[in-house]
Order: sequence, then structure tokens, then C-alpha cells
Amino acid sequence: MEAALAGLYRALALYLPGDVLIADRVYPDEVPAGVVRPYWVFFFVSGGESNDVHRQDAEFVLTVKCVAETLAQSLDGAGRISNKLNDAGRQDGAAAPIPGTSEWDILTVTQERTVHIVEKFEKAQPIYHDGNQYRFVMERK
Amino acid sequence: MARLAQNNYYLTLDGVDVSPYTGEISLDAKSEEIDITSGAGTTHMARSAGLRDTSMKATLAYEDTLLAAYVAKINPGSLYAVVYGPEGAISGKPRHAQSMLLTATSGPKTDVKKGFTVFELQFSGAAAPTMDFYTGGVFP
Repeated sequence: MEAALAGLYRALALYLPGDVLIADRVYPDEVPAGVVRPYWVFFFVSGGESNDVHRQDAEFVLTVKCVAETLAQSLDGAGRISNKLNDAGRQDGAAAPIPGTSEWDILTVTQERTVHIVEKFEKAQPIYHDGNQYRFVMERK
Repeated sequence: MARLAQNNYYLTLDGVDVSPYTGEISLDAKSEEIDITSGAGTTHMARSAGLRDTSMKATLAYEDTLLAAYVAKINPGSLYAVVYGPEGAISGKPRHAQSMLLTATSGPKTDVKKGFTVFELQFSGAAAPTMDFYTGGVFP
């Protein structure tokens, strides 16, 4: 029996890759050393079972962001993530909604807070992080 | 002996089991009071019980793929055979069965923030209960 968060991570890992900016460079939680930037990374912020209905349900907030070497590229990546994810749930009316898994239905995806970080890396080289927090409402099928 | 703190309740409307979609259920009973105070020099009110009445409120989730299964049972102005079991439909557990008039259905109410969409139902008793929770009715 698949946990809700496992289902969401699996769905995102299949749904997010393929953008021309990052190809298949999409990573959950941690990014392997040496990966070429830009890339996308998503990780847990908050959430869990919501107990709104008798079936098992869940509501999670995840950060999904683009990490790049220029601000322009990072913001472009954030926009591409938004274009792909915002309102991409089955009930959101998206043209290509995010498929759930065999056990979990992803009902809605809602873009929320903006994420913007400037990280100083080697020799004070700036690395830019831009994206959003997204709220996922799910129900077990 | 333990307080009741579970959600395995049971609710049917004309035999359609809406329990899986139900959020809150509140069964309420009241009795009219009749003033029977009499006599000279009386210092206190005297009252007796009048007609009893039962009402019920329930919330149902808007289930997008299952709505057709129960939408015909939330039509205001209709009489429904209501069966309610706060501990489920288990033999020996409390049961209330009564013909009730659905006086109001509120919803679906939708909003741009993607709130949880529910129906709020208000019932009033349309006849004496055939099985009264408050007099010890139970599932057979």
C-alpha cells in the first residue's frame, strides 16, 4: 500500500522532466553532486492526512524550484515550473493534468508562496533559486 | 464504557447509503412545552410536555465521480425515509428511522481558493419515528 507522499513524489518524478531547460534533471529532496545547472528540485514543506472524507486523503505543500547560475535562467525555470504545475490537478481543468498513481488521485495543485534565494557558492559566485510552494490535494482511489 | 469518538456512522436516504460521503450529522429532538399553571396564589409555573419534533442536519461531500449516486436524494421539498445509526448499522446499536422532509439544501458552494465543497442538508420530521433513538431504538 503506497503512502500518499510516496505517490506524490513518484507522480512528480514522472511528470516534471522533459522541459527543454532542464531535460531530465529533476530531483527529489537532494541533488547529486556535480549535476549541471539549471536543474529542478522538489522537497516537502508541510502536510499530511487531512481527514476531510472517510477515504484516506492528504494535503501536502512542497517547494518546487529551479536552481541556476543566472537570475534570468532561474526565473525562467520558475515560470516553466509554474506553467507545468499550477492548476494541474485532475479537477483543475488542465489540458495535461498530472497523472496520479494507481493508488492516488491528485485532485488539485495550487501555486502559493514564492521562493527566491541567492546562494553564495565558490568564490562568492551567486547561485539562484526560484520557484514556488505548491499545495497538492489528494485522495486514495 | 467509553465516550463515543468514531466516525463509523450510518445514514441512508430512501435506502441510498450516503455514509461514505457524510461529514457531520446532528440529530435533534425537542418537545413543545404547555403552560398548565392554574389556581389562585400559585407561585410557580407548571408545565407539561407538548408535541415532540425531530430535525436533522447533515453535510455531504461533493464527490465528482459519484454525485449521480446520491444527488437525487438531496432534493429540497422531498420526503425521505431516513435511517441514522451513530455507531453504524450493527445489530443492537442505536438506530433512528423516520420519514423526514428535506427543507433546505445549501451548496454546492465553490470558491477560487479551491475550498472543500459540501452540501448542507436540513431535515424536519414528517411523521412519528418508526424507530426512535431517544426511546432506545436499535438495529435488529
